[in-house]
Amino acid sequence: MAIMQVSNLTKKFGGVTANKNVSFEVKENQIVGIIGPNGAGKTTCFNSICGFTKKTEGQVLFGDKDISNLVHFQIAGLGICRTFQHTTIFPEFTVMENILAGMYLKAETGIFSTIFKYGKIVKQEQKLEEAAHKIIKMVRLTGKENSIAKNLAYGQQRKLAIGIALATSPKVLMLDEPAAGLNATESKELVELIRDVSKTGITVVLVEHDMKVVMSVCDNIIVLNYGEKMAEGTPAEIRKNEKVIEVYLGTETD
Amino acid sequence: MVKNKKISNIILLAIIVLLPLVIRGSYSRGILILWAIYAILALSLNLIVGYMGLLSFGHAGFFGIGAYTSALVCLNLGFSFWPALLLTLIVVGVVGLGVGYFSIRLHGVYFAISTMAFSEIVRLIMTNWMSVTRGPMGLNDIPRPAFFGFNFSSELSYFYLVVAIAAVLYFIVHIIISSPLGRSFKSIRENQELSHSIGIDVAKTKVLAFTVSAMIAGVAGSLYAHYYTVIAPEVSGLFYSTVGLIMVIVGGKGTLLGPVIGAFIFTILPEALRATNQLQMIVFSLVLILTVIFLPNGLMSILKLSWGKQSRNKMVGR
Repeated sequence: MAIMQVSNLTKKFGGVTANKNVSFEVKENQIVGIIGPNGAGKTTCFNSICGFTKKTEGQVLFGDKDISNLVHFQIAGLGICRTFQHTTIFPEFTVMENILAGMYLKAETGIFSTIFKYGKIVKQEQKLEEAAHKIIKMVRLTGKENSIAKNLAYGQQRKLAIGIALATSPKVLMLDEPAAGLNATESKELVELIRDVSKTGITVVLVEHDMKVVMSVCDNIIVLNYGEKMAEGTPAEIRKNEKVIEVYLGTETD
Repeated sequence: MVKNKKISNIILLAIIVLLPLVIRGSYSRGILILWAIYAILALSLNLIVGYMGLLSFGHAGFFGIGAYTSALVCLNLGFSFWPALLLTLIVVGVVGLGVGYFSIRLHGVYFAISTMAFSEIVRLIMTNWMSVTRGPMGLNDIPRPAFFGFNFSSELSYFYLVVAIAAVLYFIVHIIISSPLGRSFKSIRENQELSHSIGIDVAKTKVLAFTVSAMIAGVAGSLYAHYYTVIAPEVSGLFYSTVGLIMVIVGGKGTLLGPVIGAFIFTILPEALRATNQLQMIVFSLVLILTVIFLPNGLMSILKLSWGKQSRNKMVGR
C-alpha cells in the first residue's frame, strides 16, 4: 500500500524549473532513495513534499490525506519528519535534551496545564526520558546523554539529527543526504541504523550521493535528472538502466 | 542537583526577606523596592531575550501600560489594587498578543525596531491623550495597595509585597522554562528551522512567550505606579526597555537568577558608588562595560563555574 503519493510535482524558481512533473509512490515500510546528479532537484523535491517551500503545481497524498497545501510543522504533526543536508541539532542542548525536544508533539505544552498541572508534566517528563533512552540507544549514542551536542564529533551529530527526527515518532522519515561528510565506517553504521529504523516499521525516504549507501539500503530508487524523473526501480534495475549509467553512474561506479 | 538548587533558592529568598532588617531608612528601602520591581521587569524580558532569542526594545510599552491601566482604574473607577492588577494583566496580555501577532514575523533587528516603535507610540498616546492620562502632568495620588484592611503604606511592607509577587512570578517562569513548553522556546532560540521540522508552530509559540512576557512586565509597571504613587508618560520611555535589557545581559541571559542579579547590580551598585562622588556614573559604566567584555554570559557565568560542570549542563538546558 502506498503511504505517500507524489503526483505531477512541479516547482519553479522564477524562470528556472527545479522540478517538472515528478510523480512517484512510496510504499509503506519501504526504503526509497532519490538520486541524481548535482542540481537535479532532489532537495527541492524534498522541500516541496515537507512543506518547506510552496510547490508550483502538483499534489502530495499522505495515506489518503492531501497534504499539498500544508506547511512544515503541520506536516510534521501528521508524521512526516525530515533531516537537513547540513547538520541540524540544538547545539547548546545535551544529547538527552535534543531528543526530548524532538518529542515536542507528544508532550503536553499548553500554557495553562504547564502552570497549573506541573506535577503531571514532571511525571510525563520521566516517561519521555525513558523513551528517549531507547532512541539514543538506537542511534548509538548511549553514554553520551549528558554531553553538549555541539561538542560531539561530526558523525555523532549527524546521528543525533536522525535521533531528533525519530523522536517525533514519524511514520515517514525523510533524510536529506544523511551520509554527507561521513567516512567509510560511519557510512556503514548509517546503513545499519537506517535498516534498524526500517525494522521498527518506519518508512524511509532518502536523498543521497553516496551510491554505496543507496544501493545497499534502498528497496526502490528514483532517479532525477534536470528536475524530471528519469527512471525508477530496484537497485539492480537502476544499475542496469543504460540511461542512468549514461548521465550519472557511468563514470562513478565500476 | 535539583534538590541543591531548591535549597539554594530558598536560602536566597531568605536572604532577600531578611535584607530590610539590615538596610534601614526609607530611602534605602526604597532602593530595595526598586530592585525587586526591576527584577520582575528583567524576568519578563529574559523570558523572550534569554530563552527565545528575541530582542525586544518595547517592554517599556508594557511596563507603562501596566502602570497607567492599574493607576487609572484605581483613580477613576474606584478599583482597589488587586482587581486593578487582574485587569492590568488582561489589558497588557491583549496588547501583548496584538503586538506579538504583528511583529513576530519580523526577524532580529527588525523585530527590535518594531517593538521600539510600539513603546514610543504608547508613550506618545500617554503624552497626548490629555482627557484620560492628563498628558505630561501624569497621574498622582495613586493609592497604595491594601490587603484585608492592611495597608502597604510603609516601605517595609511594600517591599515584602513586591518580593512575594516577584517570587510567584519567578516560580511560574521556572515552571515554564523547565517544562516541554519552555524547551520549545529554547529550541526556537537554538535552531528555528529544526524547530519547524519537529512540529513546533514557531510563530504561535513566539507570540505566546511574548504575551506572557508582556503580562509580567505589566505587573512590574503596576507595582511601580502604586509604589511611587506618581507616574508620567516617561514610564514608557526607551529608558525602561534599555534598563531591562542591560539587567538581563549583565546578570546572565537565559538563566533564572541572572535578571535578579542584574537588577541588583543596576539598582544597588550606583548607590554603593556614591562614595566616589562625581565618578559614580563613570565607575558604574566601567563595571557594565567590563562585565559585558569579560563575562559575555553575564555574572551568572561566575556562579555557574563555581557550581561545577554538572550544574552547568543542567543550567543550559533546563
